Amino acid sequence: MNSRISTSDLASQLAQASGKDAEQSEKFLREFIGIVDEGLFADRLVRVNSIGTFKIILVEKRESIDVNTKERILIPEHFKLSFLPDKEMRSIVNKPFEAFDTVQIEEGTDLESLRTTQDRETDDDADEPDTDEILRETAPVREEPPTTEIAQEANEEDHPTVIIMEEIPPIPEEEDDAPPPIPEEAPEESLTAETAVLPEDEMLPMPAPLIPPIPPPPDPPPPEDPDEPEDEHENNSGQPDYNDIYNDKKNTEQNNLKEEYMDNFNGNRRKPGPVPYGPGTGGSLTNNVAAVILAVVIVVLVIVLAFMLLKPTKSKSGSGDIDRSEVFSLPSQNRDLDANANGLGGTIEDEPFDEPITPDPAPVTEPKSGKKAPSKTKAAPYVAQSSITTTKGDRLNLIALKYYGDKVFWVYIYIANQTKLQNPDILPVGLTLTVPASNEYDINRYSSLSLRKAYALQRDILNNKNSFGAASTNGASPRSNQYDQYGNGQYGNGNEGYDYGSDYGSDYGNDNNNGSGEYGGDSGAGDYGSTGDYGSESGQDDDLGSYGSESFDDGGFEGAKATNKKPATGKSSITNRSVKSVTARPAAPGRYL
Amino acid sequence: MSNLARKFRAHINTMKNKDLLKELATRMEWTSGEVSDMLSKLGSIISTSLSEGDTVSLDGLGQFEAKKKGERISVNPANGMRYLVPPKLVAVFKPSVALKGKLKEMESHE
Repeated sequence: MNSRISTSDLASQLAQASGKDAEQSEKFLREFIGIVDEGLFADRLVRVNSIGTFKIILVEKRESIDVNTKERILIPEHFKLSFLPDKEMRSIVNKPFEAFDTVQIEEGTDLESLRTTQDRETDDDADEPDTDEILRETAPVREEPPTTEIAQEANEEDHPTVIIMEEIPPIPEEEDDAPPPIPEEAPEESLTAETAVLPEDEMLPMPAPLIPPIPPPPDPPPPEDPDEPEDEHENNSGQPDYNDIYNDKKNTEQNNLKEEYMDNFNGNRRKPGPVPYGPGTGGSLTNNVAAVILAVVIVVLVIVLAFMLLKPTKSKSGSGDIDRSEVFSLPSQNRDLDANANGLGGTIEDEPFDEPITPDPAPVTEPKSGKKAPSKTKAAPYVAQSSITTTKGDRLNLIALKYYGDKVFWVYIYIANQTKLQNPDILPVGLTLTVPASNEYDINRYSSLSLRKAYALQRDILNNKNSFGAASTNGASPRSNQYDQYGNGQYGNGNEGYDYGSDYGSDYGNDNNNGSGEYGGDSGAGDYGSTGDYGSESGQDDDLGSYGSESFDDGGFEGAKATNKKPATGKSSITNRSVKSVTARPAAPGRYL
Repeated sequence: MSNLARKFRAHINTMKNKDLLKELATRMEWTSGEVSDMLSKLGSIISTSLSEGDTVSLDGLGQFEAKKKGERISVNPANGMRYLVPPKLVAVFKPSVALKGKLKEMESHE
């Protein structure tokens, strides 16, 4: 840590790694340095595989201001050595942050308050229109001191809605009891498990699809990293000790990642959280105290109430599920969106995305890619079968990354342990998992065929999970039309709770259509076009269109441009999709915007 | 374009990995297989050291360091969407004084 490795240290490490003697390694290093040096001055550019490219570049002359004398000076043109690390080196060096992906920030949010954004979104779920109330409502739940009486009232009024939210899930749930109930006493534990298991390449990019550009109808809040589901849960059930749990969560995370970096990262991210709310509501000190007490009382009441209301209908598991499916069931769509986005732009890359239309693309795509793939496919190192015991913070996808080199291969670990794992999102601590040998499933991270198969499987698994486990209306399954049902209000008109259902329905319905590979996209959107929400949304899209820049050549964005020109008739889904591709694409490991 | 710049442009060759391997192999009297094996080991040693926060110096050439780039918000110019880009660690190379001196010399020569 933070030590300086000299050339001779390097030589001895090299000797150890290669089995050559120290003298030889040192000579090798010396020669290497010599050649790079010579090559640089002879050729201006030296490329070394597995390290990077050294290049001498010319810096044009420019004007500047002397820091000391404040005089204008002319910096003459000069040479500079630039170094561009090799892909391999880049990914190894960035290992501590590898797990993070670029996430979308919702329109109109304070740049600093990413976490807060999510909280607010959660409340949007409960009661959409009145933003002011929402603002006040969030405050008491998360940070104890609410500042005004009104805040209390808002709080009180809002909670019934919140509870209704929680009641939605049991409906589909009762058809099927696969997911284990989550006892309220231990939401922390179960959530930890849930979030921990989550394949994160699905989880992280997800926020994009979830956040349409405008405050959407009751869209599930965007999980921006594994902690977010927690947010929702805490908020929905009105648990006051949010911050503790949040911190706990962070700690779990840190097991996985380089702690010092994580600390920084969390620090950055957490700080801004409360800021937007703090100053917004000014109040006297006494008011504060009273408000705090009131808030506590109300929160306790709500918990009790929620407990009593929800217990008989088994919705404890339901409320657990809402988090899970809100957050986790969507990846499958997301995948599809990826595929679509790529297809749109005609920029299909090495990363294989499964075909959106075919329910089981593996056999279809096999022969196609089979022709090309083998010619350039590198053989992946053989991974022998082994068994591991899960620890806190383990996730299937991280295990897969470790063993097979790509996160998507978690599906095979899941399949190999299907008897022990009901839900891929839940990975109990202390479980002994069998990591299958890589040849058992032809796992090869360099083979697009192998990856494609895994992606297809992943989608199937996630869809499956939804079909049995999707307690909530938003447990999205691209191939089912359950949303249409909700969308049509089949489950009851006029009932507040199901209104959400219908909103989810239309929302995800759109996504569904995108997901099923209608590259044109129009037909899908049409069904839902009449929804007022979408009307307004695409209205805003028009606004966004003014940003449209000709130079952006990504297919996804072209799509966005095109849509923006159309009148506001609920084509928003297409726009959303196109836009999502931004996040979708960087989702490939190691690629950020 | 200045004289210097013109000369510079005219002079761009590249020393590809292959040339490097060949040269190293002859100097070390190894097979190129050995050399490339050695080089990739060197690369991974440097990379892992960097990811652990160490700096690696190559005498006469310079030193490798890992630099942390903070998280940032990036905006897609086409639609105004904002994205939070996570922090990352990147490998940077700082040329040694000797190397910088040579670069300076090169300027005055040309």
